[in-house]
Amino acid sequence: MNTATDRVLRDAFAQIADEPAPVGLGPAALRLARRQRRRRTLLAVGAAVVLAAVATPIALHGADKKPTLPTGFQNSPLVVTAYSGTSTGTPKSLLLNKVTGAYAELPYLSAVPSPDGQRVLVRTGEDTPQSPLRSGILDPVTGEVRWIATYTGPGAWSPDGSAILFTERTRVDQRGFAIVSATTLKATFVPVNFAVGNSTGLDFVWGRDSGEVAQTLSDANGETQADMVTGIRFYTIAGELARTLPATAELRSADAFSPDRSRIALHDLGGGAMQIVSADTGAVERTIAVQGHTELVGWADDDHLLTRHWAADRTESEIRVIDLTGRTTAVAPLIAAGSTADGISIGSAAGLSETAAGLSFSVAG
Amino acid sequence: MDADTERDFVAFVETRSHSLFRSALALTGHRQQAEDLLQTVLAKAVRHWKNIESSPEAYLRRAMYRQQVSSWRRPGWSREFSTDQVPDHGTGPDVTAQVDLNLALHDALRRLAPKYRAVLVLRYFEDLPDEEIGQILGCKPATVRSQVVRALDRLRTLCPDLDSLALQEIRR
Repeated sequence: MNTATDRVLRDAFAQIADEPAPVGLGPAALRLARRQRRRRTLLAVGAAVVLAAVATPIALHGADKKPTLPTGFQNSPLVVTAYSGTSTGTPKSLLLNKVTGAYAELPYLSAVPSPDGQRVLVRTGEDTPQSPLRSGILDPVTGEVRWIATYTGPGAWSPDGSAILFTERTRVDQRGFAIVSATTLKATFVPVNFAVGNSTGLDFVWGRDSGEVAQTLSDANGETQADMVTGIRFYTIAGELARTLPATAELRSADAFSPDRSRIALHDLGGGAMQIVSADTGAVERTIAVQGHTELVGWADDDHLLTRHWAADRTESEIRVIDLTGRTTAVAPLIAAGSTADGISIGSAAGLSETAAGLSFSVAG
Repeated sequence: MDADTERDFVAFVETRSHSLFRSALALTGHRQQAEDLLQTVLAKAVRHWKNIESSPEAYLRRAMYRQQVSSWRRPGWSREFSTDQVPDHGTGPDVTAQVDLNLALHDALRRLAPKYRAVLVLRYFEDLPDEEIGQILGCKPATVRSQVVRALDRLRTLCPDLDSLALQEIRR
């Protein structure tokens, strides 16, 4: 390489890079980090049955093989079925084996059981060229993981457990969502320009059922204020805009829909309150004030919410069942390693070994 | 991250955003992609701030280059594409031709695979020695040198006028 070519390349890169930086990068990065943190801590509810095993295949002891929609737990006892990300070092997640009543260690960043409990969505990787992030579907019966080659972001189970939703934002000119069949792993990408009216950059989530996805709209409200939610858009899974719901709080996952699917529990973007709104009209039926840092997990039944309440210093958390006035009616027992887990999945305790009865809880405590 | 730490983070980003954004632009060649890239690694830095606050810029630069190369490996990312026809050669040393040649070079750099572009940016934009480039990209210095050679070979294929530009640079 001669020095003249060096100079040409140096000049070219200098010209390409000769643009002012955008303003507000710091606050925008903080907002993005908070969104990502929320995604990691989103909890999957509705797993009717969860088995556990990896590496060592186990049989489907007592498994409920009939897929069910997450329609609440009909007052049945609940149990934490998985803890995602329980270690800050080596990736580790814990999956409940109901037969033994013990949690099996999985070497993954996250482990989220499907609503029917037949599969587990796992994630691994260090986000480096040597170890890219990837998601896969673990079969708890065989311990085999089928890796999803097409999309690498954090996925979300559809309400019926048949598919996984990914928000695709890797390319500026190819943004939208992708739905990957949990059976065949066939991916369908649906282009939707979701940057418009979405200053917070929220991802797609599943809607009321597995036939629609939703996205919360937001508007920047200055660098020192939280963004304002302006509505929720619902799309068919073909990408057609189906309806827009007026809203002033955020829809974070399909678990925010009540068991009868008539109401949605929404989160204020800035925290501090949850709203119970009509899934048809968006009308606010109730506002629930929450103390400290509290995240919605889902609905325990039509009258109770599952929430995760963090200590002020974020060193521990607990799962609380609250009624729609905000009153705590029960606190879930968490194992020591689970209190600071990135994510917690909750499901029915039906079929849980009697020796592990201490792990279960109910809405009334 | 508590309020004081958030303030420290925002202050750091405000101080260094111009330099970091220039690197992101050189890497991506596209303003929107540069913003996305920088946002992605800044958000990562928020999560790891306690561990990196003694030298956040080094962490950010390393994360930015690795993210860019790893993004390219992900399906759907805009990859270098091959063509049977290379751009026309420039014909004269006049100003217009010079501009054309520069545009052709910029276009060729844009079409270069991100792993090749990254190694060229590290050497010719960041002016880093091969050892440091290797540390950032996670490879040996010898690999860096071979990557530079391959990147330049590819660049000459995409922009046959690269050597003409160099020649004009000598005459100026």
